[in-house]
Amino acid sequence: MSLIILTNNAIYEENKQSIHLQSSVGNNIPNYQTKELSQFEINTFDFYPKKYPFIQFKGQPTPIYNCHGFTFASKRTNIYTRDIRSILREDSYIQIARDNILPGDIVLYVANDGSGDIPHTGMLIQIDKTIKPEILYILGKWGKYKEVIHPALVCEYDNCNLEFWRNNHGFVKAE
Amino acid sequence: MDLLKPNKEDLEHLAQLYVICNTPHFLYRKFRNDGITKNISDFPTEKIISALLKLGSEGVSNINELAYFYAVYISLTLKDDYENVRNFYNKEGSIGFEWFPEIKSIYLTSTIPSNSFTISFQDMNYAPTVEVIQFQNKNQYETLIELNISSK
Repeated sequence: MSLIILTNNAIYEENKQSIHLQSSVGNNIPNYQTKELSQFEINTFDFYPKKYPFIQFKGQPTPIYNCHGFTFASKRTNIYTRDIRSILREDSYIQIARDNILPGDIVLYVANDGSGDIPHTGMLIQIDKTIKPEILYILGKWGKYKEVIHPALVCEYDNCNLEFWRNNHGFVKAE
Repeated sequence: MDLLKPNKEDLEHLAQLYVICNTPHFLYRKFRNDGITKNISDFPTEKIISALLKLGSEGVSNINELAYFYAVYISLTLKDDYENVRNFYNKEGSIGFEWFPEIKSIYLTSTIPSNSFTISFQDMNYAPTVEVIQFQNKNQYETLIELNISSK
């Protein structure tokens, strides 16, 4: 017996579309845009601003791009986790040691359960060294919700190890 | 708890989890660890499946219902009923929600059924290999144990 989901509004899958997106070596990057959630529905969420009153939520909720699309596709579309490693390789990213990170570096939240999942990515935008230990501020996107400026360890993406990467086209020296 | 009529608070809670998920694996982990999904998994497998079919035939019209649908779907992964869950996941085909195929895949590749045991060995090329062997009944289990012991 097959399970067929018909909705009153639309079949969600039909709302999916992809755009032309390539890595810097010209390989296609699978992606999808979805309009699965209406603005009205997502706007009803005030849960996270209440849960995290000291975190800055930016812009409006949108399912058009996820965190990976924010980090690697200029907010144009959703990117799958399974393609993140190949994007890093083909776009000549190099991993940066924790002591050498700078604003503008990319941060990967890698699940520590051995699955290889990367539930969150974002951009390091500030390192607050006035406090010890220093606080790293990340600008990223939380799923279909809003962009968020959050301390690296204050977010919903727990049980992860952080990796820092920098785009260094043509420069292969490890840092 | 009524599988077909979840309360508003549960629906909103699940939607709050769902909306911040960037990946299906994260959704799978979050929902499996959530109390509401665990409560759903207390129902017999056949009741959960029939609820899925009923909810599916009705369709969803908002994010709360969508998140609940995911919770019911994922609750099956908590059942100690691998054969029936696998059969259901493999039979259902035309699901339109974006992460159902991935959830099914995560379950089928990460779950080792309780009526099985794992054998680790080196293959002919000395590569480490793991095989999951399932048994259907007591006799088959004893035969497999015997074979396993005699092969060592």
